[in-house]
Amino acid sequence: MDASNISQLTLEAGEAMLTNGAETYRVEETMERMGAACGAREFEVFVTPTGILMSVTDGDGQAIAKVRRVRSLNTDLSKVSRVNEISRRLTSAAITPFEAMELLRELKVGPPAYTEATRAISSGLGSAAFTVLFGGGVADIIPAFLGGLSVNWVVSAAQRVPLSRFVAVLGGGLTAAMVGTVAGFMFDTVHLNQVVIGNIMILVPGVAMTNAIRDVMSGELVAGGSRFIEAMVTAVSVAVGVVIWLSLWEAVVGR
Amino acid sequence: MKLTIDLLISFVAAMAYGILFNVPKRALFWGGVTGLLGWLGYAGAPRLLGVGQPAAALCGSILVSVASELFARVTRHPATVFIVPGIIPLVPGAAAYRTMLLFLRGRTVEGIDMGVQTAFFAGGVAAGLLVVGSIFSAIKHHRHQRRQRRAQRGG
Repeated sequence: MDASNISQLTLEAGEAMLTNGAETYRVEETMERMGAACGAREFEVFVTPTGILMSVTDGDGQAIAKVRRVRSLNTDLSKVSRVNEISRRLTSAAITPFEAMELLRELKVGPPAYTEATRAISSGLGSAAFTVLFGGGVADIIPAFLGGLSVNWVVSAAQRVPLSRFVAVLGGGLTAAMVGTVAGFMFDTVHLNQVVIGNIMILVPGVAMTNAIRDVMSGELVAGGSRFIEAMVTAVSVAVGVVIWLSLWEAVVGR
Repeated sequence: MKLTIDLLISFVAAMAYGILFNVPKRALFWGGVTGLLGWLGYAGAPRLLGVGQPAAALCGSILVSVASELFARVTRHPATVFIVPGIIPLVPGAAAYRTMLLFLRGRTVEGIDMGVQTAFFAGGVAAGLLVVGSIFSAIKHHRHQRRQRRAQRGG
């Protein structure tokens, strides 16, 4: 393969991994392996959470450098796993580079592993589970479930607008506190705090945090640092959303 | 009894979180198991070893990472697929929320106390991921080198 094709293939793979929530060190590793499998003589790649820089020299000595700006979409770990699989099959020569390209194109337009409805229900379920885990009672299950659904709906609606992720998460935090306070106001048996905690657990920046730690661990300081900031800002946005609603509520309703 | 219920709930919570992040269908159950093991380490360590909260978080997160790396080897999915849902029950969401509430009520000193405890807890979780992850990548590195050396000798 010539340099242009190699860079095309590896960039597609790298972008697919990065947009769907892979750690940057894993993106680099996968791209390097694929580059070597395609017969690159030299292959350098630098990945940050928001873009990929690469240069490749092919067997004929022809060199090419490319930059790709990457915008992260929703986390889809199935797709990350599938790119991994494609790369493994390419390096073991089970498929040709052209077949790999075809598989990556299919993956890019393919639907996520779970439907929107399944994800909505599981956000309700997750919220209810955390409410009980953090000391909530049986009466808290239904409000926590509904809260999880609403938080998920608000965040995905805000992202469709599209508002910044942090604003979307702030709206989520606000909704979480809103459902908790209203449920606590209507039913005396509901534990307000536990319901709010369950609701905000769906907004926890789990992927960003895990990736930050794993990137720093592999010496990817730039990527790890920016993921860490992403996680921190997300957490603060949730907190601000919750605090805004709670202060309004306490000022107006008074309990 | 409380522990059994909590373990089941952390299993459900981890699986629900796995669906939110589109964990591959075949890996979803094991993501749930990872969450359960994490909670087992977190809740079990203080009973068995008498350690405090941050160390309990460390134990939980060590179990999560070891389980994830092993599941990753067996199922051939990347370890993240198990770590992301598995670590969620250990995230100190409740403590962070209480910290926020204390600050909001103007109880700043108690808020700082709670905030520091939360930070230590989160540090324990991070340390577990870091240490185990580094050990596993060192093992992988050595295996890779040995295989390459053998290939060179053979060729």
